[in-house]
Amino acid sequence: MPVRRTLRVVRRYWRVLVRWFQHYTAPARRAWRRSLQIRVVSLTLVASSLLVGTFGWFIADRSAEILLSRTKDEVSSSLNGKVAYAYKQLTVHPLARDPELPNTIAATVNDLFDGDPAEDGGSVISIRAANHPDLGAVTLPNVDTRQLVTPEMVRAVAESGSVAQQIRTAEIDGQTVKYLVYGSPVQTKFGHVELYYMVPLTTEDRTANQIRTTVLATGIALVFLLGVVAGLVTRLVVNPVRVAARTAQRLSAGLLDQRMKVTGEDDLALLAAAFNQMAANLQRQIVRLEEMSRLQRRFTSDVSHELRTPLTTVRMAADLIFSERDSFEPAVARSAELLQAELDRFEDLLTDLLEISRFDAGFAALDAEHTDLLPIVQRVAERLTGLADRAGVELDLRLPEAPVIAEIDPRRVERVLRNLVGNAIEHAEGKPVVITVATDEAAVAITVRDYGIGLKPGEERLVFNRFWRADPSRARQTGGTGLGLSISVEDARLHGGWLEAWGAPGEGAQFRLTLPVRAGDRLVAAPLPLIPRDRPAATGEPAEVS
Amino acid sequence: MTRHRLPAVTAVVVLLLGGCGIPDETGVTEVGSGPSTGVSSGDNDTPVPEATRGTTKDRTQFIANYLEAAAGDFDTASERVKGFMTQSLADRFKPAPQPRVIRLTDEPSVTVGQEKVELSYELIGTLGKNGVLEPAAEPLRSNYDITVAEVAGEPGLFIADAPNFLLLSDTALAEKYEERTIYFWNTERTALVPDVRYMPRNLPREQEPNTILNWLIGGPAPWLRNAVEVLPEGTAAEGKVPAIDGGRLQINLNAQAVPAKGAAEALDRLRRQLQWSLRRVLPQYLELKIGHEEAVEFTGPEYYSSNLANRLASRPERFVVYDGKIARVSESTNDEEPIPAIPAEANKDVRTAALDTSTTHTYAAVVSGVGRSEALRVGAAPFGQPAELQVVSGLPAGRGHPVWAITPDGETEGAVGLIIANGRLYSFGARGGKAQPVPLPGGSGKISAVSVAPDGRRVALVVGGRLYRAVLTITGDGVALSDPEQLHPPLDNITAVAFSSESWLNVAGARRGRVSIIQVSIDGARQGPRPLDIGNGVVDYLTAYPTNPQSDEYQSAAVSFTIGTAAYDVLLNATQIGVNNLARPPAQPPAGKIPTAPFFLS
Repeated sequence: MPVRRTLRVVRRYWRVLVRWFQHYTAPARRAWRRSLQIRVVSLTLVASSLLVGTFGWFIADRSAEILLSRTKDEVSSSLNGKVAYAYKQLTVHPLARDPELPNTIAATVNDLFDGDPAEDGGSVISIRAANHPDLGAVTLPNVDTRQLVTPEMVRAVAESGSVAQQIRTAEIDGQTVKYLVYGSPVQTKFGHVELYYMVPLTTEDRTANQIRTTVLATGIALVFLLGVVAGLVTRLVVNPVRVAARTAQRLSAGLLDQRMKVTGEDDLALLAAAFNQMAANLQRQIVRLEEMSRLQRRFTSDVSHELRTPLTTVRMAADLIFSERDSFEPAVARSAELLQAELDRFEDLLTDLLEISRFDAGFAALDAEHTDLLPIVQRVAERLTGLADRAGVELDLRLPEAPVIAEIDPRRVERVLRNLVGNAIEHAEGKPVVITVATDEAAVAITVRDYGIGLKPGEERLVFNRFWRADPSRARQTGGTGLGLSISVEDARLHGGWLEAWGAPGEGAQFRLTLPVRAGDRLVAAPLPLIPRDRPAATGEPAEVS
Repeated sequence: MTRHRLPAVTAVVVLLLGGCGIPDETGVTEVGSGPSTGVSSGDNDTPVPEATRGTTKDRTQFIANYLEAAAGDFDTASERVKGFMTQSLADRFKPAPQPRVIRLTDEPSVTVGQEKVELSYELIGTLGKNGVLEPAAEPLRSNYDITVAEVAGEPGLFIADAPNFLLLSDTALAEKYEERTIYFWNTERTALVPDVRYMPRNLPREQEPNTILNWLIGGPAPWLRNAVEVLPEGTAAEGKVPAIDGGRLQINLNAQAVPAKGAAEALDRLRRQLQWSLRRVLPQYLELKIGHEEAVEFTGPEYYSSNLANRLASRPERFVVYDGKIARVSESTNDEEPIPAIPAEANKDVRTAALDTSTTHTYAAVVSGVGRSEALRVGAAPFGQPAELQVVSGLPAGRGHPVWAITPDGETEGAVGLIIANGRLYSFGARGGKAQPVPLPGGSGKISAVSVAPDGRRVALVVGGRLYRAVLTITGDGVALSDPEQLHPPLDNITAVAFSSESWLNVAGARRGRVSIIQVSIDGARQGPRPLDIGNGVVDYLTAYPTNPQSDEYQSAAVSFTIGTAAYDVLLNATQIGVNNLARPPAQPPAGKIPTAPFFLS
């Protein structure tokens, strides 16, 4: 249990830490994600730091090694000379107890001592005999060499009888100096004594440090300059790209006459030129298409208007014939009836076409006023009761008790509702149609639900297309013009509302009209779901048309 | 992210760079094996252990050991002597560093039951650090009282009281020291002059060259100073002289050892001086390195010629004066030859004579006549030719035996001979003329004998029955004598002296009431093994043919002397030279004529 609790605590702190980290690094990460320049400069800095660091380290290390090995060679050869000299000097003493021997050792050390003590410590020479403790160590200059000549060194030289070297740092006369210590046995007739030659590495150390500092400074400067160069070069490339991006954004925002400045003849200039070319072509195409669309709409509107006049004449004639039908032969009477019906349809079609062309031409205007929606819904239901009765469909109204006041155009909303309910009755296949109204502070929603054949996936959007039919082979029974939903969508859009459809095969369909309570408000949510609650789970993608 | 990366990367770079450079500490790295063991000289002649306080409980022997203790290393002599003493005596024992060399004139008076021992002694001199035995300025015979006691709780004997001197007996000097002759050039740079030093026998052989070199650098013995040339001012050895290795002796001297002017001649002189001085230890090659110049190698016997004593033959040509004529003695070389240099017509009425040679000439000096007709005639001639003898004037009557001191090569100018006339010393040249008196500085006694060493500079004199040594210095009008130094041989009433080698003298005088001829070293300290007891006669004249230094024999095989007019050879005993010893004895020897005044062609 405590383990789990601890783990939980740890996890919590970890999360806090991660969140904290993410919070503080968020600007940097954003900058990293967004700026190509920062990425390039950073990568250049990292890569060049690694490279320069590696090479710098290599150079500094090598030069220190070369310095040291040169000194070692010098000291070694000097030591050999000194050992040879000391050997010769000590050949005259066959016995260690020779009273003259200490004098000889002292004189030999004196002869071997080279150089005056420099300010950074001179070399130190020492002869001692570890195997003959009676012979004291003779050291010149007389400094304490215990820090320099270590017991390991003495062991290597005095016991193993080999030439050995070691680097030691010791404090001599209050100065901390790095020494290269060489030791060699000197053969004598009474065994051997040891010669230690200690050379300060001050000069070499200083040189190595200078090299290191130089390499470091050069490396840092190099990395910095590389960063600057990378930044500059990237800017050279990124700046035109940014300009291009901005221009493209403006273009897409509709400012079709935006162009890039073309300077020089390089790749970027080529890009700018191509971009400008593309923009020009695009502009030309769009203008042409707009013109074509305008012409088409004009044509539709003109055709509708032009057709109205002859249609009125035809209508009057048809009315006359229709009123006189009883006097005709039944077959002719039947034709007169057909003519009357088709003329009604034709008139509706023309009305819808004119309505559509008004929308297309942007002449549609919202005549908004504070209106209670419920009477409109009820009126639509009443008017369509006959149709519903004929289709054997029951209309189920689910309305709130309080009035639903919204700033709407009641004529347009009624037309939309009529359209929706009519469609629902038409496709209900005898099952009930449910009309629900709900509201909140911001929006009003009306759904129309049927349980008929439903919609196939993808048809949620197609239903709003002009002259679209779910089954083209199906005969027109209700005599719809095929423009109803298109007009309804335009009406909803005019209100700043949504008209959306949902449907599933065999499960029926639901249409939802959402309107803002105050005209001109922006909708964010609807008080009713698009996918009906009586369906187990939402499977299909809700279609949204705004 | 990027903002944080730059310092991090820099830190890594700094860290990496900080890692390189020269480390502060490393472990011990064995570079290689040490130099191989040098050639061991092999002659690991461990010296005879020195007698210490605990060596004996015999008081007489203990005293003898005590008188030996100062022998050996000079600097530690005092410590060795203190080793024989009780602690209280050792604490207050503050002697002069030079040991006094004494000759016991009697056995130490060890009395049973008494701690005090009386030593009767004769002071010979003091032995310096440079191996020079300086004779005592004044003769001194006296007694030392030494207390030999036992200390409770400690074994053995102790010296409880002793004079505040380092004492060294003459027997210890002979036993514990070896005589070494080193050489200096005479002031004319014509020949080397020997200088006798004493080297401790326990000094390792390897150190001998070094010791000798230091002696040379330290300069000659005081009595030779006027006659020889010291090494150039500032001459010093560069380090020690290493032991001989591969038949090669390396000597490094600083640049001052050879003056810039006449460097080649100076170097040649220096190497001859070194070769002669180091002759006993000299291997095949002498390598001489002056300053930082290239080492020069010397070999071969060329250097021998620089020592005049090297001309001495193993068998001398011997002469006597018989019946007023110079005659050869048999059993000497060239005994069929005529007398060199002296023309036959001049060979008459001769009393005493001297013959000497250089590499080119024979020098002759003849004293003839008695009383008013007494005359010294001298001459020189190239080998094989008779000389024209010239009279030397200005000499008082009572002339003794002439002797040639300096015999130049090539020409006779500058030759110096000496003669004692009426107890005074005179010098003469090879071309006659006036004899020059040679004053004896500080001395007023009668000079009774003079002998010149083969080098022609050192002389031994007998003045007033005492033995002196001095050197001849060349002056504008002949020669002068340096301050004579009295020697203290174990003889009284000395009458005659002669050089028997470079460093030894034959001296005739009274010894315990009887006349004897003994060999003493040039400083009077040591004496030869075979004193010749003569009895009651007075040795008027003593001559010897010195040995060649190469023979390493310091006792001459050719010593002759006269008692009255009778001439004697020193063989095993004194043997008179008779007529039958002449190379061409006369068929009818005149009665009452005996060979006298023996001399050698030196």
